[in-house]
Formats: sequence, C-alpha cells, structure tokens
Amino acid sequence: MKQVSMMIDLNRCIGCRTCVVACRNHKEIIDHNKAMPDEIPYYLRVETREKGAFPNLSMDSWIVPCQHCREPKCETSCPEGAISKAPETGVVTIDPEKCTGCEAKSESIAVEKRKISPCKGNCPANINVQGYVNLAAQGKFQEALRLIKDENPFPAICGRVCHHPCESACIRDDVDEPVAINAIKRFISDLDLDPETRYVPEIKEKKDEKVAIIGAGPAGLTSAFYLAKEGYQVNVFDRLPVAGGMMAVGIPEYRLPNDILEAEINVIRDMGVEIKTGVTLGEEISLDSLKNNGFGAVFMATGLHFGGRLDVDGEDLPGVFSGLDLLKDIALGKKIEIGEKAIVIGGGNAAIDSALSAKRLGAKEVTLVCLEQRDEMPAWNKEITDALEEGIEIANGLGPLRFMEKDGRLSGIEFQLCTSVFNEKGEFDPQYDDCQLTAMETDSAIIAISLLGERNFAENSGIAITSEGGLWADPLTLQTRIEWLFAGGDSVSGPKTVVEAIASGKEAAISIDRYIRGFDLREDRVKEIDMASDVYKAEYDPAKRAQIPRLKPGERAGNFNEIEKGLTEEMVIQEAKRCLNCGCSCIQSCPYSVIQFDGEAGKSHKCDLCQDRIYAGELPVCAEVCMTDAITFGEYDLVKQWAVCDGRTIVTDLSKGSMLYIK
Amino acid sequence: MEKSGWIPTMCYQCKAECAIIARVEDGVLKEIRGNPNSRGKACVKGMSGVSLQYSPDRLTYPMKRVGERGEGKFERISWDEAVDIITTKLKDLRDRGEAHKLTASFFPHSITDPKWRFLNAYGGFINTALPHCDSAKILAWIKTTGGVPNHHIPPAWFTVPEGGIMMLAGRHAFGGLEDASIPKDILEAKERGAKLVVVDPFFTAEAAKADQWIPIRPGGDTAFFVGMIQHIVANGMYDREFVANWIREGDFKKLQDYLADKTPERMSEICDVPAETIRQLAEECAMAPSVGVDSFKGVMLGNALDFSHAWCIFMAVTGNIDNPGGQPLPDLVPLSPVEPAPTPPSLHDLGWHRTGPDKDKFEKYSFIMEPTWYEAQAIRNGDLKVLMVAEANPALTEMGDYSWQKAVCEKDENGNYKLELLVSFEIMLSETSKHADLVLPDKSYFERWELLYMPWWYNFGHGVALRQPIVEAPGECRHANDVFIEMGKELSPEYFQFDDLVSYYDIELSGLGLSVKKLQEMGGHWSPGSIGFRKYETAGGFGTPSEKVHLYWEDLEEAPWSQAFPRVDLPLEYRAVLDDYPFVLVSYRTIFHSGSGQWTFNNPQLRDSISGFQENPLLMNPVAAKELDVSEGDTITAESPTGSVQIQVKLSERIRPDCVALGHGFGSTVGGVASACKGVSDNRLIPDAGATLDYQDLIGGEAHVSTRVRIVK
Ligand SMILES: Cc1cc2nc3c(=O)[nH]c(=O)nc-3n(C[C@H](O)[C@H](O)[C@H](O)COP(=O)(O)OP(=O)(O)OC[C@H]3O[C@@H](n4cnc5c(N)ncnc54)[C@H](O)[C@@H]3O)c2cc1C
Ligand code: SF4
Ligand code: SF4
Ligand code: SF4
Repeated sequence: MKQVSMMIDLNRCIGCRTCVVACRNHKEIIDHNKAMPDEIPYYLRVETREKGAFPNLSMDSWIVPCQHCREPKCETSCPEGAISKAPETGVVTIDPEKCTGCEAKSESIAVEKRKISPCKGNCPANINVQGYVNLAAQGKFQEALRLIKDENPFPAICGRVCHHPCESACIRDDVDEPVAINAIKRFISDLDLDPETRYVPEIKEKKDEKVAIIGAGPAGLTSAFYLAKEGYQVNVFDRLPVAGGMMAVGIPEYRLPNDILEAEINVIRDMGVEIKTGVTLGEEISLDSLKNNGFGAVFMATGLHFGGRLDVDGEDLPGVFSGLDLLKDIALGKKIEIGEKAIVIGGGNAAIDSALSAKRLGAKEVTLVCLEQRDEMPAWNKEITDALEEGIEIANGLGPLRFMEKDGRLSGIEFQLCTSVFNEKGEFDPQYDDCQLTAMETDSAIIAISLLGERNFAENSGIAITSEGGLWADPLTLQTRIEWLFAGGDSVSGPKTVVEAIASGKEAAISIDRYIRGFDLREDRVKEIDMASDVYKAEYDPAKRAQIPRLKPGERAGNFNEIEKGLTEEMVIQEAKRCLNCGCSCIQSCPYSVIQFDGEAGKSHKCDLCQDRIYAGELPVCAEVCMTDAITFGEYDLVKQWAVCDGRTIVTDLSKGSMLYIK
Repeated sequence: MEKSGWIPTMCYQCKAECAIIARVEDGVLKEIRGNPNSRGKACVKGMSGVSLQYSPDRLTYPMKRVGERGEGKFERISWDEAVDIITTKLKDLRDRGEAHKLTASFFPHSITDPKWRFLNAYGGFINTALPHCDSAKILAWIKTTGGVPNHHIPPAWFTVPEGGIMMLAGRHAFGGLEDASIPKDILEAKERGAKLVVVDPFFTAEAAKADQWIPIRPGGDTAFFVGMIQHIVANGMYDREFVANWIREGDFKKLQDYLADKTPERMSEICDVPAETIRQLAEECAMAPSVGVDSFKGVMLGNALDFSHAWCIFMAVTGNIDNPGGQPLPDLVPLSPVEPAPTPPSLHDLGWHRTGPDKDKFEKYSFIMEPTWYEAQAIRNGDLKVLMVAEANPALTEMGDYSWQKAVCEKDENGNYKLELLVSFEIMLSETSKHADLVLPDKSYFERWELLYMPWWYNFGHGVALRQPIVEAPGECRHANDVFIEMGKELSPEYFQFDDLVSYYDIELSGLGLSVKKLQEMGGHWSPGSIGFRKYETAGGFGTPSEKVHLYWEDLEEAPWSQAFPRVDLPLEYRAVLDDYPFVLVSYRTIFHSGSGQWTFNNPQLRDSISGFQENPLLMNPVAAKELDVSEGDTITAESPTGSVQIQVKLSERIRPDCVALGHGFGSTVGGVASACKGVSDNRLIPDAGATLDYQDLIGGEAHVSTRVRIVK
C-alpha cells in the first residue's frame, strides 16, 4: 500500500496552534480583512485531553487534520464522485471541479451547509441520510448501501418498520411533504437481501478477546455486528428458538417478512458471530459461567418479554390471551383458535398489531378497546389508520372491569367508563365512573397493555434495577454496576423502537471495545449536533411525494403477506431528487469532522496534506512550522517502523486513519 | 515597492521579537515562518501577523479628540497639525521647567531607541510600556552579580546537558515570550536526558510535559527556594569551588547563620510543598551538572525582590551562574555612539514620579531606568503632564479597577485635565487611544525600519537584527520613530543632526563595519554567534563593587524590614486579608496573547476558538466550587479588596483548590474582533499602586499578578 502519513508526537505537541494558523495562511482559506472569530475555516484543529484529578494530572494535545483514511467515508458518501484517494500517495482529495457542494445554491446558506441535516441529526442511529438519499438520486445504490450499513446493520428491516424520525424532521415538509426517506432506504437495502450485492463489512484484525451477548434482538445483534467488525469473537445467546428478538416474535410478518429478517441476520452470522438460540441466561448459562469461559465482557439486551396484567376477575379464563404471547406463537408457527369475535385491550402499537393479527387468524369482528381517547392513544397515527382501514372497531374511553365466564370459558367483558387517563402532571392515573358500565360479548380477549422485563436473573446476579423496573446502566456508557457487564436496548430504556435499540447496541459496542482495551469509557461520548434549519428552499424539484404501493384492505384478510410494497427504481430516483440537500454529504460522513464548506465557492474543501508541496519534496506546512517539531512526515510504514524502533507507544485510539499518533 | 518572495525580518507580535521570514506576493503579505537562518521558529501570534496587517481596524490618518476624553469621538486632522499640537505643548512644558513631566510609554526595541533618545534630549522619562514586571529580577541580579538578566534572558535551554535540571517557577516558557524556539529547546533537552520541573499553582502546558509538577502555594517560592538552599548548605552539597572563589568574603558565613532555622520542614509550612519534595529536589539540583531556573510570576509579587534574591543565592551556591544550562549573564557588542549623545535627566532629582511615604528609602531599589511606575498615580500627584504612548496599552495594563482610565479623565479645580496631553501612536484603535487627545496611525512591523539592539540574545545573540519594510503602509501611517525624530529636530536639534531613522542606524552600525543596507543584504542579523560561558573568569570577576557575588545586601539591612537576606514569608498582600478573601487569583498567560495589546486581542485568528484563546472564564477547582455550591457555567462575582468583576466559572482540575485562575490581558472592548468576544480584565481585580503603596513601595516589588479574591454567587 502506498500511503504518506504524518506521525504526531504527543510528547512534543504543546497545543500551540501555530500549525493551524500557518495552514490557513498558506492555503488562503482566510480573508484577513473580513475574518471574524469562529467563522474562519480550518484544515486542522488541536484536541486536548486532560486526565486525573488535582494534583495527579496529565494533559495531552494533538492535531487533527484530515486522516486520509484507508477507506474514506467521505469518498463513499459523495454523490458526485468528487472525492478520491490518490493511488500514488494515499492522499484523499476533493476535486473542486466535480464538487457541487451537494447542490449548494446560494451564498446565504453557507453556515447552514456546514451543519448536520435534520434527517441525520434526528436519526437515532446517526445514519448519513442525506448522503444515501443523494447517492440514490444518482442511482448509486451500492454506495448508498455501504453508507447506510456503516451505521445500521438492519437497513432492510428499518426500511420497513422504522418510525423514521428522519422523515418527521425533513425540511422538505415546509415545502410540501417530507422526502419518503424510509422507502428510499428500503429500496437500497433490499440489495442486501441478495447474496450477490450483499455488503459484508471487512473485519479488522482478529482479536483473541471474547464477548458474550445475551439477547438476539436488534440491540444485541447490533453490538455483535460492530464488535465482530472490530475483530472480537462474539457469541450471542437467546432463549427463543429464533434470532431477532421482537423483530422476529413481536413485529408481525405482514409488516416484516421473515426472509428479510433472516437475510440481515445472516450477514452477522457470515461475519463470524455465533448465535446460540434456546439458551437462557439463568438456566443453561450464568454470568459466572460466562466469566469462567473467558468472556471479557457481557452485553445484556434482553428486551421486555412479559405482557402486563390487568389484575381483574376472570383474567385467567380460557380465551384470554396475552398479546405478546399471541404474536410470539403466531411467529413461531403455533396453531391458535381465536374464534369469530375478538377484543383487544390496549391503545399502543402492540395492541394494533395484535388486532390486525387476530383478523388474519380469522376473526371476523375485531374491536380494540382502550382507556385513551383517540388523540391520546400511544399508537402511531399511521398504525391507527391501518387498523381502521382493515375494519377494526376502536372503542375509546373504556376500562375492563371483569371478564365474564360462560361454560368455563370467556364469554364477554364488562367495561367501566374512563373519565380521564392522565392527571394534571401528565402522569398515567386513570379515573373511572363505575356507574356507567358497558358489556361486550366476545370469543377471545387479547391483553396488550404493557411490556415488562424479566427480573429474576437480574436480581439473582446482582444487577441493579431502576424504579421503573428496567435494568440500570449508565446512560452514557451503558456500563452496569458490575464493571464488565453492560446493558442496553428495551431492557434498560423501557419499550422503544428497533432503531433506538440499534443505537444502543452501537454505544455498547464502543464501550465494550474501550473497556477491553482499557480506555476511558466516557471521553468524547457526548457530541453536540448542530442541525441545519435555515435551508435554502427557492429551487427544488417540484415533484410530489411518491405514493407507496400497498395491498388493498381486501387483499390482506386471512394472510400475513407484506402490506407495503417497495418503490420502483425510477420512483426512488425521482423521490430522492426531492431532497433539499440541507447540508453536505461528505461533511456529515467524516468521522473526524474535518471537512469545511466554502460558502462563496459553494464547495467543500479540506486538508490535502499539502500534496503540491509533497511532490516538490517539501513538508506539509503544519510539519514545517510546528514549534516543537512534533510532526514527522513520511511513508506510513516507515514512520511506524521508526516509532517502533524508538520504543514509542502508538496511541491506537487516535491512530485510526492514516495518521500515526505516538507517545 | 511591490516586493515578492521570502524576506527576512523581525516579528513584533510580542516582545520576544523572533527572527522571521515573510512571504510577499506582489506587495501583499501572505505567510510567515521562523527564520531558518536564525533560531527557526515563530509562534501562533507570529503566524497571525498576517491578520494584523490586513485588519479592517487599521488606522490610516491622524485624528484629534472632539468631545470629552474617553468618549472616543475624533476628527481627522493633518500630520502637520498633529505634530504642531505636540511640539507646542512640549515647548510650553519645557519653558515651565517641567520637561521631566513628560513620559513616553513604549517598548524600546533597542537600548538606543530614537524615542528614548528624544526623551533624554528633551528631559522626559520612559515608562517601558508597562509597569516594569521584571524589575525585581533585574535589581536582584545587579545587586548579586552586577549583571542584568531581565525576563528575556532565560537559561540557554539549548545548552542544557544530559542530567541537567530545568526549573520553571511561574514561567510560561512555552508561550514563546522569550523566543519561539524555547518550547522545542526545552523538549529536546528533555529528550537528551534533562529533567523538567514546573513549580506553579496552575497545571500549565509546561507542567503537562514536566517530569515533576510542584503545585506550590502562590507566593511560597521564596520559602521553597530557601528551603532547598538550607538543605544544600547544611549538608555540604554546595558548589565548593564556586563558593570559595567567587562569593564575597564573609557572605557565605552570614548565609549559613541566616539559614539556621530555615529547615525544609519550616519552609514547607509556608509554601505547601512537602519537606520531602524540597529535600529531594535540592539534592537533585546539587548533583545535577546544571540547573537553569526561569521565573516570571515569581518576580511580580509583593515579595518579588526577596524571591529574586533567593533565586540568585540558589544559583550561586549550586554554581549555576553563567555556565551551560545555568543563568547566563548577557553582554552586548558596542555600537557606535551617535554624537553628541544627550544626557538624560537626573532620575534622582527629577524622576520620582512614583511616590510613597518615603522616597529616600525607595531609592535603594532603583536601577538603571527608573520608570514612571504607575501613570494613574503620577497624574494624580501632578508629576505627569504629557503622556505619549506607542505600542502600549496602559488603559488595560495598569492595575486597579480602570484606575488609569479614570485618572486620565480627572480634571483640576479649573476644569482642565490634570494630564494636559495624551498622545497615542497606534495601528488600530485601543482602549488607550480611545482616551487620547491625538491618535496617530503608526506603521505595523511589516512596514518600517527598526534596528533591534538588546541583550536578549536568545533570538539574535549579542548582536543586532534588522526589521525592514516589506509591504507598503496604508494611508498616512507614519512610524512613531520618524515622528519622534521630526519632533527632536524641532525641539532639540543639536541631538538630531542625522537625516532620518536609517541614517541614525547607519551611524550606530558603522562601528561594526555595517550599515542598514549591508545588514539587509546579510539576511537581517549580525551576531558573533557565541554566548560565552563563565565570562567572569576572563573578565577577572563580576560587575559588583567587590567583583565577587554578593549574597548579603547590606544596603537593605534597615529598610522597614531587613531584606539583607530574603524574607521567606508569603507576600503581605496574601496575608493581610486572608479571612475575607479566601482565594488567590492566579493570572495566567497563554501563547495566544501578549500583554493586553490590541495586536493579539483584536486579531481574529487569536480569538478564534480553533486557533486562539477567545475568552477567559474563571477557572475553579471542582472541590472548591462544590463547597461554594458553584457549578460549571455559573456567573459569579469575583471580588478583591479593590475591585470586582462578573464572570463565568469553568471547573478545572488544573488549579489549586485555594486559587482561582484568570487568563491575563483580556478586557478590550475596542475593535471589531475584540468587541465581538467576551473577556474580563484581571487588572480590574489587582490593586493599583495607590491601594498598596504603603508597603509595596518599601519592599521593591509590586503585586502585578497577585491579589486575594472571594467568590460571591
Ligand atoms: C408487537 C410489537 C411491535 C413493534 N413494532 C415496532 C415497529 O414497527 N417499529 C419499531 O421500530 N419498533 C417496534 N417495536 C419495538 C421493537 O421491536 C423493540 O423496541 C426492539 O425489538 C427492542 O430491541 P431489544 O434488542 O432491546 O430487545 P428484544 O428485541 O426484545 O430482544 C431481546 C431478546 O432477548 C432474549 N432474552 C430475554 N431474556 C433472556 C434470557 N434470560 N436469556 C437469553 N435470552 C433472553 C429474548 O428472547 C429476545 O430475543 C415493536 C414491539 C412490539 C412488541
Ligand atoms: S478524515 Fe474525513 S475527510 Fe479525511 S479521508 Fe477520512 S473521512 Fe475523508
Ligand atoms: S430535505 Fe433532504 S437533507 Fe433535508 S431533511 Fe429532508 S432528506 Fe434530509
Ligand atoms: S505547531 Fe506543533 S506543537 Fe503547536 S499545536 Fe501544532 S503540532 Fe502541536
């Protein structure tokens, strides 16, 4: 490999920033006559890390120029193909001829273009949304897939079930309707289902350390994906016979077909992760046994697998189901007798899934009954519309008083009127009027009111529990009070979503990697996201939002076929062109935040390692001016050899690109 | 003059004046580097010189005040009118027999700076741009060795041998304020096997690189050094040869008597450094092939003279005077005098601008260039009538809660300003020029000729260096030196018989067989290239009356307190109000700013968060903050006995819990950049002379960086 590099000696760098100013002057990226503090572009910056407490302190400083990454994310993300890595030097440059600044239209948006676009800023998994939307607009789906999979191992799943906060934040909504981001993602991600076009990330150097993950839901599998990518040996244990957690046994097939789930999980298997189903923590395995078997860290992502009870008379009668069990049984292929009439109790998404599933099991009349009024229901609007579309009745403002019995089985339910659900403080505190009673006949009742975690193993293994009944973990690092044990996903946060579980799994992977390598877990974890808001909207593609094809309600009865269909290629390209390009794709993709935006030229720009000087046999300017000669310029392998021969330590958490940091 | 290419010249973003090269393209300044033919480095301030040069705030024509002082309202006038106003006033002052009531405040770029010559010829005095921060160090070295190492003369770090010790006692050496090559020289000496010790209540950039950080109690330096001296002397670890041959008869015996009760244990109580550490470092210093000490904050406290004295004794008994790695005693190659040379006014008879309860006693602390110490004080006493300021910003540099700004606006009973004329030479409007009667647009250091001739050899050796114009000055800018020469020709023509500034320098250089042109052709500097070690051996002794090192200062035996040997107690200003003001304010410096000048504080690159230092929150140790229930980001009031400021708190482990730290020099509200950034002047908390004169005057030191404060939520 040809790669020029700079070796930065932390024993020498004093954080003086002489290099920063010299670089600016040399590259003429400052207008001295107009410059104002905090508005001047820069190609490198200084970072400082303080450690310890008075009087036992240490402090290091180093520079962060473009790292001229081995696999530059900026390169992948650029829709114009303007960014390339020079084969003869390894220097990554942005070609100003090709760069359009992601369709930068006007000078007035310069400050905004430097920011994160709201779609990415609102994505819990931090996917470079604008990046893949822009790539899709160019038909560059393979590149788009890579960009998505950098941040999310389950794009095809998310493309189907995500509640897409990206779309809710999409600025195009100010013009007409948001870009159909999720449908675009779904199209791109379906490439991943085909083993030919599937993207399996490269595994870094294999490591000896083993990590155990309890729970094969999205949180657990995501951390497995990223830890495997880092080279760890990862084993995932799950008590269910299938992998996927709620994605497998909660979300019904008509929204998430099984083969999609299988395909995405298989990528993780292909990466060398062993998923062992039918193994329960607390039964076959324990924390002690894991420790004894050489696992250096454990991630608990056990989700919430128990349905809440109503505690009213008759709740245990035959014909009364837990929604969760019902969905699980359907998913696992068990036969279920639901009868003609079914009542679902609950107002959330799980209740709606239960109702729609009951319908598919053959129930003719399905009624959903909940305490809340329509506008108070926790289910997403889209879900409610789906339910109504399929002829589900919704009865609001009723609370079950008792289950009625006839011939040893359920015959009906008596409800009392719920006068209010929340108190003044907004807390759940239902009030009833027990004079106003309603009775309904039914063959079966499905209780889908709340989700609870299992606590036994937690209590037995000394894992702290929060007052809400979740596992306790540090919100920033996900570390529990047991040093080597981390916890995340729904089991910690309470019921959330797939993408939030993915985000949690990513954080866990970072923590576990740092923990095993002995690094500070907390450092640089909180990142401020500065999102574009004042976006230029004068020139845009006037096309209307694409309509997503769906099965007609009539076609849905009695089967679990997927309701939503994908867009066609042309539709995707057209839809992606509706994007207003709030920010710049490369700026948002660079993990080191080194790319600048030039408002006047309407282009991105960054450090090119002073390539012209290198060709002329001179040093990059920062290396030349460094006050302490902290920067050694040279071929990567050579400077590395120099560092090793000199007995220097390579600071691995910094030396991730092609720059080498030593102490 | 449309130059192109790399041109050697001298930086003046701070008083180190490093040798640089500057790239000019068709008459436009583009880039700056350290001069590879000199010490090779320039710092971030130096690099930011390009932004200074093209600042939109550059002044381009002379202006006269309209309205009251301080309102900052001016009208454009001609240079002829401006010069006429000054010379008319100066003639009047001289006719009144009050020529000595002229003070010019500037930084002399050479000991023969033409502005200084003007003062000597006219009969006025110099104030070296700021209340003289290193006077105690200079005075102590003169008394001890007859030499003049000021704060620009640190140990020659590039000469420190393996095993040598480099000690920074309250010195921000990485700030590049002595030369931009110093950080590299220190780190390279470290790599050679020298040891870096940082003595500072603040965990500085230097401490981060140090082998040992000693977070001393502020003001404890004297006790710390005396404790080390005691351990070394009592255990016979001193440099016997140096003591026997070079210390004045009897002084060492007196020292031993003085040290009898100054054990590390006792000193430890004062300075809060464990006795074990004092002994350990003392032993290491005694064994080391060299010890070099640099200090700055230590020589700016009320007991600065005591500390400087202890420092001198320490260097003498460990044999570290003028040796490789130790304290150099600089000298200068003589330049040719420009005849006739004016005789300066008598300091003793006329120069007592600084008043106090006992002028005669203060005389003991005098040294070569008695300045007008505190301008505010002198204005109020009627000792300062005309003030001309160039490249200085006393409105912010003088201690006291805007005391200078108030004093220049004070009027007598007839409604006339006590200070009759205030002239400011500046390249951009400053807090000082805002108060001036005349604001005169100066040339930047890229636009003028200047000969640098000073004993700060770290950058240009015992020689001379040339600053040369590399770009055109905008508008009607004139170099202050040229204006002073013009005024000299009118007011004291006999001393200004040369044509202009360059011909003045030509005469001076002729003794070395040089001229400005030749020097320019040589690359801008001339130096014999040597420092010279143990020069006292060949010179047959030191510059003291006995030609030996004086450890004992008999002339200070009976000041109100005997200072014949150092007083080890904490400075009085730290003890007097201890109960009411529990914190010591540590005012620290960074590489990004120099003094309180507009050159750095109104420079966008030096106030940018990425490349500079934007604002100065008050740094508090989290332990102390918790006790006061203060959190990160809280706005609090910091009160000293004489001033108070509102400021945001930033929690930092880097500061002692009994101290709070504030970056020095902030507070400018003039200029596009400076006014857009926040920042609080530390000098608003530090008392001015009037508040502490009664004891400061008599002990030869000023509390420049020190005061006690309390935090009010
Ligand atoms: C009906 C329903 C519909 C949903 N629909 C959506 C949707 O459309 N979009 C969306 O974004 N989110 C949806 N969600 C939420 C989403 O599925 C969850 O937030 C997400 O799956 C949580 O992921 P997790 O990894 O934390 O836990 P889970 O997915 O719950 O996985 C936890 C795993 O841990 C295993 N486990 C538990 N205890 C043990 C043990 N002791 N030993 C071994 N294994 C154990 C479990 O068997 C399970 O496989 C839905 C949830 C439900 C219930
Ligand atoms: S550091 Fe950022 S800009 Fe540089 S190559 Fe890597 S991703 Fe691209
Ligand atoms: S318009 Fe484009 S960049 Fe902006 S929020 Fe929507 S998808 Fe993202
Ligand atoms: S010039 Fe050198 S020492 Fe200063 S910040 Fe840059 S790399 Fe560090």
